[in-house]
Amino acid sequence: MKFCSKCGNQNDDNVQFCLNCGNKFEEEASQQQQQPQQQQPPIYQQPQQPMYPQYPQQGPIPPVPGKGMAIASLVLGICSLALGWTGVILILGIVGIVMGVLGGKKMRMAGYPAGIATAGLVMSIIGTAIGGLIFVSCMACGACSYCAVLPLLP
Amino acid sequence: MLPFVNFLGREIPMYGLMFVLAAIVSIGFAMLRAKQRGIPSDDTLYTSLFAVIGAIVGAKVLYIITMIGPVIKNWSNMMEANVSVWEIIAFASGGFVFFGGLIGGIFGGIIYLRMFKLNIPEYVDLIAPCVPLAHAIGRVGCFFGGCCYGIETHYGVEFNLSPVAPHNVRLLPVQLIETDVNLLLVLILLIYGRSHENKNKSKNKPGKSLLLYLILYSVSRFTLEFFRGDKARGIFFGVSTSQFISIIIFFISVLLIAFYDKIIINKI
Repeated sequence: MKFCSKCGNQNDDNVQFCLNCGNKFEEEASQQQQQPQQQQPPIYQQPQQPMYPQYPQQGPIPPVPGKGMAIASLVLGICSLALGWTGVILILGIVGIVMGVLGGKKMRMAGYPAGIATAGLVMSIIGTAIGGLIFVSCMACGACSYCAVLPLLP
Repeated sequence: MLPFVNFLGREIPMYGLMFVLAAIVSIGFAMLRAKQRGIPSDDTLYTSLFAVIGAIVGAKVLYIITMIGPVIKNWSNMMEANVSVWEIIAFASGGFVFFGGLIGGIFGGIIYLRMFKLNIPEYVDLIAPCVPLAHAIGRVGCFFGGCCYGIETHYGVEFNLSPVAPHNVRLLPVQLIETDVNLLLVLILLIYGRSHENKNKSKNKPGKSLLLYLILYSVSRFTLEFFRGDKARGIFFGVSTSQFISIIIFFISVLLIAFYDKIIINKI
């Protein structure tokens, strides 16, 4: 708040002319503007952000390399987590891992953050581990399966 | 011994548990070594994952290959006995062969390294000691499951709970012996890696650890195979399948390590 030197009316700091008498706040304006400038808070520093490629303002967005695989990995990861205990669905988890690794690597190499791929990878690993735990039993040695067919072999 | 563990109301097979544990421990060990050597650990993780997947695929494919012969030979017998297609498929899906896994694992890892143009010998040296480590832990699972059992001895162990081993027979716990041998291989590979690390870099020839492992493992596998009691795995020219493959891998590895500079350094 500042006061007009001519009529004494109270005016806002940021007005250039007195609202009452029209007197121009020249010296006072320049004097008073210096103080607010000094009191201005420091410019807000943008936190370090990963370098995103600059999209053009018009035109189609360029395809992100590996994003399709990352999304596939996420879907497969969820499925393998949900169904991994049945064992046979181990293949879903394995494909999910492959997609997550390749998709994530391609996205990161192009400079994009690859959270989707990481999430898909982690879920696929857990799903595969659960499936492996339950499915890869000692039957994996193959000896048990022999029992079904061995009597028929010479 | 203890094929199943009761956990949260479910019967969990020990073999599968050891399999998963082996993967976790060996991949974790690889990532630890990567940190020590300044190699990015996420690339190590991805290479290891690809290697594990390659190993699963390779082991399964080799098993199916070994099974195609007997299945085709006995197709008429099986059709007569009304064996359903499902049973045949279940039969084919029930096994893995270690050497198929080894070759598949190597291929899987190299595929990833080639795809992203990473230094292959460096990663090979990094991951090489983890292979016998994983194998050692897996063999403990074999011991608990009772598969890959040994010959009859009068001071052996009885596998009465196992669905795979013969009951009421004292068998040599060859699985545990294989665990010890594999742990010894881990030690040898670590010492070999350490002794070549600090020396003159130009003379340092990375990538040989894997070949050293193949040579040592094929020799030990050939020897231990004589103490195996589950010979129903196939006979090839007088020696078992595994011994035959061991001989082949031994000679190929010796050749590769002798002509290492000419063959591998120029190829990769």
